[in-house]
Amino acid sequence: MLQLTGITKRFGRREVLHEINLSVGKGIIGLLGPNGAGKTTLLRLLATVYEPTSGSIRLNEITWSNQVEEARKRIGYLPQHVGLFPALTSYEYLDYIAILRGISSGKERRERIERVLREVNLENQTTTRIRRLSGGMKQRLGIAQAIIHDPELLLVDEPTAGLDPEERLRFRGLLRRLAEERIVILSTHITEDVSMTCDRVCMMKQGSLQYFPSLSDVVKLASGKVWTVSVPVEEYHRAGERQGLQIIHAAEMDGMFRLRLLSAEKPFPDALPTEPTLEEGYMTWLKAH
Amino acid sequence: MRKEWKQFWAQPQYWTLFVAAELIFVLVTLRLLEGWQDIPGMIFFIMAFNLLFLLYGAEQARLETKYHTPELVSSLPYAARYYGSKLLFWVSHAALWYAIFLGSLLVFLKFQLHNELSIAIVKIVISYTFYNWFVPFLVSMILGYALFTLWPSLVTYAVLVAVWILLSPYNHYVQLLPSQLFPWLAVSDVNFSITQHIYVTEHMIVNDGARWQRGLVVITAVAVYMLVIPVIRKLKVMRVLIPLLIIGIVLIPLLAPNQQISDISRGTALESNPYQSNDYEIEAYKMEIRHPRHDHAFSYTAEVSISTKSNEISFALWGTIHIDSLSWNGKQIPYTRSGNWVSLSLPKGSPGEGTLHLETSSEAYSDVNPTSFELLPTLPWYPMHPDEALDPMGHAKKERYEIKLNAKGFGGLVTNLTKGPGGTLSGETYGPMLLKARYERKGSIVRLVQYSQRTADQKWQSISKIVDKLNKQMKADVKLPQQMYVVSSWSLFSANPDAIFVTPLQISLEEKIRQTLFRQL
Repeated sequence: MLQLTGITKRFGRREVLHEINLSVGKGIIGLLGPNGAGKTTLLRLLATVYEPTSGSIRLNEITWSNQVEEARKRIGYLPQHVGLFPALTSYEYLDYIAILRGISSGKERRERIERVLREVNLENQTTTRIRRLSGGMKQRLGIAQAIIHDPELLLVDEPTAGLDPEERLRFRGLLRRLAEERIVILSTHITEDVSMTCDRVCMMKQGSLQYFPSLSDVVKLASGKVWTVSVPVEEYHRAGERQGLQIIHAAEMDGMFRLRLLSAEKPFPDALPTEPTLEEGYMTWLKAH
Repeated sequence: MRKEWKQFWAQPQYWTLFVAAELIFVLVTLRLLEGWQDIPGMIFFIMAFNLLFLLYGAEQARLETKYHTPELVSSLPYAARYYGSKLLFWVSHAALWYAIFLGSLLVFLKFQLHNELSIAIVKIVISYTFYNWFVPFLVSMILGYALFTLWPSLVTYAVLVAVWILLSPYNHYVQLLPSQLFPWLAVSDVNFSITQHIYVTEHMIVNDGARWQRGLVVITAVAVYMLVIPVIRKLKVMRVLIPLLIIGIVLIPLLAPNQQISDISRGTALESNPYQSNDYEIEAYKMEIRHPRHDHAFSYTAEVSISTKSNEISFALWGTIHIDSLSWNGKQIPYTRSGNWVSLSLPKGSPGEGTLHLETSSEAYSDVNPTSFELLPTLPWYPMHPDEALDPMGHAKKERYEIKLNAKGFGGLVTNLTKGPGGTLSGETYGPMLLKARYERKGSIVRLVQYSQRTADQKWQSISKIVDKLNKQMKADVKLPQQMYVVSSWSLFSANPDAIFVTPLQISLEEKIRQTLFRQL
C-alpha cells in the first residue's frame, strides 16, 4: 500500500503541490492532468529525486524521509526522458543500472537482464548500442531498467509520448502485465493511455489532486453534458464561438457537420444526449477546477 | 568505472581529440626540449591540456543533461556509487594521459637527447610532473563537470575559461587579482622562471607550499563536485564532511606555507672589516640550526668558544642575518653592526677564554630555500673570524664543531662533518659545510643534479687550466683543493684548502681564481 499524507512541494515561494493525500494498492493507476499540473513533480517526489516540503510518503513499512535507500530499492522509475547512456549497448546499460541498484552478483544480473529484455521484447537488441535504438525501443529499455529489480512501486512518466500506435499498444499491454504484481503509477496527459490501461485515476490540476477509485466515476462527471448533432457549416462556425460550449469532435458529411459537444445545457434544439467518454469526464473535471 | 571507460572509448570524437593532442605533444613540444631541466618551460602546452580537460569535464556534464541521466541516477539506491566511480574514472583518465606524457618524455630524454637519467632525476621528474601536470588535469576535469552541472548554459564556457585563467600562471601575468592570492590559485610551478637560473637547488623540486596548494585545490574541486550533486549533498555523512572540508579550505591558506619563492636580492661580496679588532681565536662552535622550510628562512643558536687578548673583538656575519640576542659568558653585551661585520666590547677584565652566545634568524638568506640550503664553510653565514672570512683559503683554520641540525632530509645532507644520530654533526674542519639539495658525486666532483656532469667536468677542466697557467706565469705552486662542489650559491666562486665551491654561471673565472687561490686583489 502506497500512502501519501499531506504532501506539499515548494520551489522557492511557488507551491507546486498542495496538500496531497492518497492511498493506493496493487494495480495500475493513472495520473491524469494537463501540462504543468504537477504530475512530474509528484512522480519525482515518489522517485526520491525531490524531497517533499512537508508531508510523508510511505510504502508498506518503508517511509521516504527516514529510509530513502530502502525506498529506492523498492521503486522502479521511468522518467519522462529516460536517462540512457547512448554509447553503451542495451546489455551494458542494464548491467550498469543493476549494479547501481545493488545487484552485486554477476550471475544474478545476467539472469535478470535476460528476463527483462524478454519481457520488453528486446532480447534481439542485447548488443545494439542505445544510440541506434528506435524511440519505442528506448522506452522499452527504460521500462526494463525500471523493473530489473522487481520493484513494488513502478512510476512511469509520459511513457507513450513519441511512440507510434503499434508501439503504444504494445507498451500499454506491458504496463498491464506489470501491474498484476505491483503498484504502477502512470502519469500522462493522454486520456486514451488511461482508459486503455488503468482501473483507477488521479486527476491533477495546478498542484491539486483528486482520486477516483473507478474510471466510471470520472466518466459520470460528464453524464448529461455530452451531445451529438448535425449542423450546417455556418452553425458549426457559430458553435465554436458560443460560451459554455466545447466541440469535442467534428466530422463533415454531405455538406453538414456532425458534432460531438460538451455543454451543461442542451446546445441545439435537435441535439441528442449521448454516453460520455473518459476524456469528456476529464474535460468536465478540468472546467470545474 | 569500467562502464565509464567503455563509454569513453565508444565516443571517438573525444578519444581522437586526446590522442591527437598527445601526438602533437610528442611530435612538436618534445623537439623543443634540450634537457630534463627544460620541462617547466612546457607550461603553455600543459595549460592547453588543462583547458582540454576542463572542457571535457563540462562536455560530460552536458551529455548527462542532454540524456537526462541525473534524474534517473538519483532515483537509484546506489546513486552515490555512480558519482564515486565517475571520480575514479577521472583519476584514471588523467593518470592515463599523464602516464603517456611522462613515458614519452622520459623515452625522448633518454634515447633522443641522451640525458643522464639517474634514479634521483627520474624521481624529480615524476614528482614535478605529478604535481604540475596530473593534478591540474584531474582538477580541471572535476571543475569542468561540476561547474557545467551547476549551470548548464553556454555562458558557463566563458566561466570555464575564466577559471582556467585563474588557475594558471597566466593570472600572474595579467595581475587581475591581488598577488597574495596568486600562489594559492595557480595549479602550476609558479617559481620556474627564478629557479631555472637563480635558486637552482629548487628547480623542479616540489616544495611543501606546492604540496599544500595542490592538496587545497583537489579538496576544493572535490568539495564543489560533492556540493553540486544533490544525491551526494543529501548524504548524511556530508553533514560532517562538508563543514570539515570548508574548514580545511579556509585554514590551509592561513596556516600552510606558500609555494612561491621570493626573488630577493642576492648578497654582495664581503667588504673589508671596518673594526680592525681581530686579535682573538675561535676554538670551537656548538650550534643548533633550524630550517623551517619556507622561502629564505633559517635560524640558529651558536656558542662560540673564544680565546682573546683584547676587549674588542669583531666577526663577520652577513647583514641579512639578524642577531636576536648576543651574550658573553651569559651576560648580554652591546654590539654594533656595520655592513657584514659585527663588533663588540667585552666586559672589562674579560680577556682570556669565554663563550660568545648568539641567537640569530634570517628571512632573507638567498642560499636557503624551502626544501634546500647551501651553507658553505667559506661564507660568513655563521660568526666567522675576520681573517678567515676575508681569505678562507689563506687564513684557513680548523675549529671543532658540534651541530644539531633540525632539517628534514638529514640523511641526504652533504657535509664535511661526521653525521651522528638525531641530526647531530661533529668534527674538526675549516668551517661547516651543510649542503641540502640533490647532489651527485663522481670522483672529486660533487654537483647539483640540476647541472649536468658535462658542465661540471668542463668547469673543473677550466679551473685546472687557469691554475696551471697562473702557476707558470707567477712561478707559484698553488694546488687545487681535492674536492669541487658545483653549487648554486650566490657566492659564485669560493674556496678553502679542502674544497672549491663554484657555480656554472658565466663568471670571470680567472679573476676569481686570482683573488681566491692566488690572493691577488
